[in-house]
Amino acid sequence: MEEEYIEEIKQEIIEATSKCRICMSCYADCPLQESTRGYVTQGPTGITKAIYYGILWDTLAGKDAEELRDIVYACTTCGACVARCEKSACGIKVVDVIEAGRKLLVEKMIGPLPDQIKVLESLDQEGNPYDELADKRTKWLESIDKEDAKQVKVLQDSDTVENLLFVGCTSSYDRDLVNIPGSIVKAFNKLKIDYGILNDEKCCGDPALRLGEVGLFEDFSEQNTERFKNVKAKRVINICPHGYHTFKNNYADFPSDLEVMHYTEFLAQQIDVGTLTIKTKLNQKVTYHDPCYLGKRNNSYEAPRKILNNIAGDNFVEMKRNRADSLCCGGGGGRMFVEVEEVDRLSETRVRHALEAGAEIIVTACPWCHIQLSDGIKTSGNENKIIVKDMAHLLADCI
Amino acid sequence: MCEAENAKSEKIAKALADVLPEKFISINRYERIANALHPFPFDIEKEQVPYAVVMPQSAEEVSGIMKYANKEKIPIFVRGSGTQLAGSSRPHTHGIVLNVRNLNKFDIFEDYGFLECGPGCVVAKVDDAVAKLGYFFPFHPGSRIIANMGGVVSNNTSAHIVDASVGKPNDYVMGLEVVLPNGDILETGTKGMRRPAGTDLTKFFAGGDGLLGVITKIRIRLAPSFKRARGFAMFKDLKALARGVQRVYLEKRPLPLMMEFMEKEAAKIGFDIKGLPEPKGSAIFFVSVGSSEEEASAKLNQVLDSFKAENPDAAYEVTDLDEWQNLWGAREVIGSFLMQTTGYQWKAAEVVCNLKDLVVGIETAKNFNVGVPIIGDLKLYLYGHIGALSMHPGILIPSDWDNEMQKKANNEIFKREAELNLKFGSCGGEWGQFSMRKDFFVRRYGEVGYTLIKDIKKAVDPDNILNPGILEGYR
Repeated sequence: MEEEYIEEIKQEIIEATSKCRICMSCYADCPLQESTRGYVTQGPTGITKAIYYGILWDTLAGKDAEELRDIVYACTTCGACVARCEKSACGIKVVDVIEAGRKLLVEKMIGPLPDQIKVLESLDQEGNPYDELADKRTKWLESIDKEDAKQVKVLQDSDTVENLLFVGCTSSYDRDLVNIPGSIVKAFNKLKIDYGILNDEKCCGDPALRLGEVGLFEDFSEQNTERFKNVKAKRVINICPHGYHTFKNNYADFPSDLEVMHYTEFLAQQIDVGTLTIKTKLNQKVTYHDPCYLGKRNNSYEAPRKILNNIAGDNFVEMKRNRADSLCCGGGGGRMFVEVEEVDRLSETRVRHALEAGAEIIVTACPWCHIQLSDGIKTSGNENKIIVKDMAHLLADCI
Repeated sequence: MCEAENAKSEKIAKALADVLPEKFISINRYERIANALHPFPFDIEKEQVPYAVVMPQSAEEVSGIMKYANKEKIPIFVRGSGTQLAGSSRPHTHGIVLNVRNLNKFDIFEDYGFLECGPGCVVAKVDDAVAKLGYFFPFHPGSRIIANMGGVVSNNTSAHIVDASVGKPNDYVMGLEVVLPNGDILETGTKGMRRPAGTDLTKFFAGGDGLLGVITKIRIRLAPSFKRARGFAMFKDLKALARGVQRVYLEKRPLPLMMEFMEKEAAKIGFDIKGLPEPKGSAIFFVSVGSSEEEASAKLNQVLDSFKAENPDAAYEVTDLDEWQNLWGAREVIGSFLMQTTGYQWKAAEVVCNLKDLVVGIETAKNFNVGVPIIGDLKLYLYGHIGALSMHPGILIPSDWDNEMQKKANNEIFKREAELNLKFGSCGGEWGQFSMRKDFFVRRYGEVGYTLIKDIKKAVDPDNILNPGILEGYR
């Protein structure tokens, strides 16, 4: 049975990869091309063909297998290659092939990377990738404004709500980012909408899926789907673009009547209809970093810009590389959990882009991008020149 | 891949660690495979996988690698992004792949009137940088976003640029730094604005198919950019389109910088995707240039006058840039759309006609695969750089054909391309002269021409260490 499953994965990879005509266009857009030593295996064609020939020539064992693992887990899964292949070549879903490769390596006990194994264990045991206790997940409520916290409905088993706020693992546990859910809660309270968070929220499953541990992902998918159905919400509003993407695109039985939104989309909509009013405007230059799982993977580019245009006006400046051309921060695809060797750190390059645009604040809307970019500012020695803020945090100061 | 091969890899890596940093020597199995990949629709063979991949950062390191390879009699295969469509960048046997990616220094010397770049620089990046300063860049291959400068200079590839308008790209190459197969470092050409009279060593290497040396630095003249005007014409009759192009030459019109065409069936696809009205015939679109917009427009209208004599359905100057983007986009998306909707592989040939026979030539290119073994029943779409009388019959090859069938199809395409280019007394202008095209070269220029090249190669590379297989056509 297991052998059959492995064969299925192999066939899926071979079928998709056989269509590749090695035009190498995808490599032009791959963030790894800019950040690594420039070996071909550090780009989309190199990764997918490594998996392909690994299967074809049966080199999925020993030292070869370890080399293959390191190549396959280098990808940030940002999706730039997918867009390029669709635009200029044969339309291969490159990231799907890479994720299938990871699935295969996990099945063959080759993947993920050693440091990622404990992530999977933590997901399995505590429902989050950070080895934090499951029952401390809503503790962030104690760190935000008390009046705001009081208004948050923490949904018990049989409670229902119209708008389910899915906080996500990073915003729940990272003390430095507590102002992200805090700010969103503040905005929701102002809007006086019916919303709540789950008392037993657990990971969306993104890290498990990206690392190739499909069985574990399916557990999250089933449990979250069941929980969402019980809540009877009209929409699930996500803080993290990775949860947003995963609910939208990867859940097999996601309720068809449950709308998936990112909080920037929801709040931009409220500004549009006039229910959310901007009272003060920013007087610092801000720029926006598109999180890949919101932008490239889901084409959601305009909502964050609508918010920024409203709160910053002319002080909102675009980086040269924006929207579909935006450069990945380097944190996706399971790379948040490992030290990746980068010749030029993607996060530092992105900080440089922001400085070149004349910005004093890099705004983003993804907790992982936030962490990556903050690190990039520190490691590039730009602490006195620029800071990172989440869109929610910025908006909360203006309403 | 056996123990002996692994041992050889280890041995090479150890020896080359004296020449370049270890981090730029890879014996990772998959990196070696990735550096053997080719843009053909069939798998590579295990015998093609190199022992090692090296990424030198300087001419001195390249020199050290060549000396080692000569001493040990190990073939060196030079490679950039691997996009060369006749297969020149792929190894045909075990050896060392010298990947030029780290030879990517790039400087613009406006006060001298030239730029210098390494062979590992990406064409589009160099182009964008000089365009910003108001200069024209003569290299414009379809693969510009990833193709490397070393490859386009070695191939002297024109692609979208009309040769007779601004010359071949290498006319702008003023000089080179080259490492010879024995490891000697050579500088060619000039830093002055006057090109050498008589023997110009640059010519042996720029457009030299990578046979005689490893290019490590390229000096290119900065040419002022032009103002552009854009034109479009539509012909119900493909022959009338060809006659229109002939007129442009024969009536001594100022030749456009670029002139592309799509035969009706190809145009239908591109136009539909880009939301343009269904074409009633074959489309032609072109860019005329001048020192002012008025001059460019005046030149363009002269070209249109030639077209109008052939009763086109439409012939006009395109002033709406969105329309132009859509026309250009329509041409660009044909191959990708067909591959995505059919799941087939897209493989194009390069048929170049002479001026006199263009009417026959365009019809012949349209029927490129009729009666040809293996590919005779496959669907074909015709488009190309008609201003240079260069046409690409694009053929859809089923992805589920096995490797042998794919290889046979690929060979038949090159064979048929050779027949037609022999018929028209022409040659390809984009993908080099050897590798898969070696048989054409021998037939076109005879044993005399082929022997001459072999003798030159032997004089500088007696043990055939550098890029073996290109000249022999193994690749």
